[in-house]
Amino acid sequence: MRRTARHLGRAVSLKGRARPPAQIRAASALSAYAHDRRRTATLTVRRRDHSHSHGHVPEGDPDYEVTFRIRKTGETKTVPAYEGDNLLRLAQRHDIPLEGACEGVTACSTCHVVLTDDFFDQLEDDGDHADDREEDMLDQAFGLEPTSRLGCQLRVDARFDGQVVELPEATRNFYVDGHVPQPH
Amino acid sequence: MLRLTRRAFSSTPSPRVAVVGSGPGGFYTAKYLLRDSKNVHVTILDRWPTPFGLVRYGVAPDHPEVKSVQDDFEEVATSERFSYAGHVFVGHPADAPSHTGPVVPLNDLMNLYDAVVVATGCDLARKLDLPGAELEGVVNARAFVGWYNAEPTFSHLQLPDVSDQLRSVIIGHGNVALDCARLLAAPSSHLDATDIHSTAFEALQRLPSKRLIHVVGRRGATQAAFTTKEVRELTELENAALVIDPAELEAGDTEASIEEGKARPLKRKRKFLDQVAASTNTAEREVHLRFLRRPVAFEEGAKGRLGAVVFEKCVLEGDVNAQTAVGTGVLESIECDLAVCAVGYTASPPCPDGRRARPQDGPAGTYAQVGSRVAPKLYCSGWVKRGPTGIVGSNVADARETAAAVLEDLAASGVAGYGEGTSWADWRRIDGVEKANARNGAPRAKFSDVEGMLDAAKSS
Repeated sequence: MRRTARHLGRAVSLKGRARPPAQIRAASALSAYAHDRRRTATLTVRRRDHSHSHGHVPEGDPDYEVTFRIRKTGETKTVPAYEGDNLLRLAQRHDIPLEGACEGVTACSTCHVVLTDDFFDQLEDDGDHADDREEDMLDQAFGLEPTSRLGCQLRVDARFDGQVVELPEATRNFYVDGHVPQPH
Repeated sequence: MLRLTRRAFSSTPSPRVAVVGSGPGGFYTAKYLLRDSKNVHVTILDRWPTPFGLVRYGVAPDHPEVKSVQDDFEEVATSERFSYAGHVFVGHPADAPSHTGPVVPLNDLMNLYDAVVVATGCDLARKLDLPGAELEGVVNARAFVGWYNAEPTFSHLQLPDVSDQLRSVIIGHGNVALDCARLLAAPSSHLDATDIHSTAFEALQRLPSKRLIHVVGRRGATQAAFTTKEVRELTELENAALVIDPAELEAGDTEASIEEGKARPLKRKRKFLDQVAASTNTAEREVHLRFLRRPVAFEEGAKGRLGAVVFEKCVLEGDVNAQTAVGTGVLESIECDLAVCAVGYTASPPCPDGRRARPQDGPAGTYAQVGSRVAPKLYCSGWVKRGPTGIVGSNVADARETAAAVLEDLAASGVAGYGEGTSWADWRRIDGVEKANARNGAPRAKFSDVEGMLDAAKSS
């Protein structure tokens, strides 16, 4: 009952409350995959690094604000973010329905997000572009767009402050929406 | 929380949904049924005592990162409203002659539950009905993958007994074909620390070090189903090389192919293939990616075993997204000791009419349903719904849709009744919070308001 715990844990004082979600617990075991060499090296503006704070919610005043927009419903949610926050975990912490099936190890494309043109370009200009591994998974994402990225590969810094990150529409009915049998 | 329904005072207090199959299609459906309802109870059934379907028996052992989705499923299984019934086959007894556990006909299951979701995937291999297909040395990818993943049905596969080198042909251009190629080309160090079937590991180790693997497809690179990630992995193996003939690659560049190849993923894939084709790669173990060759026969070699696969060279004809491989009459024979047919899977789902399972009218034998609803009280999810394509994550959107359809129908049918009560487990949580809130030395601090109790009941 992870979700219930995160929803309502604040209301009660229970020992079990600080138990991190499974995907976070497991991610540390797979840190060889989760470790993002390139981006760690290029981030220079970090004030505090919460990137290893798996499981516990960062404390203190948040550094930034990031807005998530769910395209399907048009709903937006602006959440406080900390320097070094992983965008996937940030979304999950605030119950934004970003999936992350592989737990952030670039083995699926369920944390697919779409950035604004300007923000995407800014990251590109700064050399923070998707690596081959991320691109390989993006290839398999639904509704891939030119400014698509994987949430699990993005770490929040000053450039993310005030940005709007969109969650593409996930539902797609394969058969009704025109299953095209592959001719051979 | 317990939800009272019209049957609250009889034996079943809440709507109960059975999900047949515990792979990604089944588990994601269970996840969203549990997440998006407060009272639905979900039982996942699986024919094996062990859960996770293709995550356990399909995903290659050297892709542990893909299997991390199991942790999410384990979390789903901690729900009080979740139960697992393993080693139960759902369907006609004649469809599971070697099954030693319980066999439950689908219509019986539908009588026992408020809704049944079939998520049994695409369990059958598409066969290549060619002369010589029965020769020793011709195997199906379904069996080969099952073998290296220790699926009980296929645990006894025999690799050919060769001494100087292994020559093999893999027919098909999907990711399963590349998985098979990678497993055959990989050095033992690559598979050492994986959950590969130990017998398969030893058998692969015993093969001669020199190995030649042709992966052959009917059409061109643009039409191939494999993804860049899987091709890239073939270039990263130690002591192995991926070889592509540039002329063969370009032979598929019809005008229609160029139009088809404009999507971003296809452009990236082609760029990578071009890079591979442009380099001269040789190694002790070589994987040759071959295009525009249609298999026509398996030829007998020494000792009555497979000796070669005969292909016919093809050209592409037809409109954009509808090109077919048309034979040119020119034959090419590739000598080999092992041929693996990786030309796709088909479904043969259980039937609500109590008869034996058979391919249905949808794509690849899937149910001919529209959306998620197969029949009243019967739903589908995963490959049996949309056909054998996509990655683990593709099931997420699919499962959400199925779960939503089930919950919508349960609500409409009045099964989801009168609102929420509390369960004994809720009381255990309230008890825990009262004890935790106790002042010095007191056994507990009792809640004096119902709201506080309910909040505590929702804690974990």
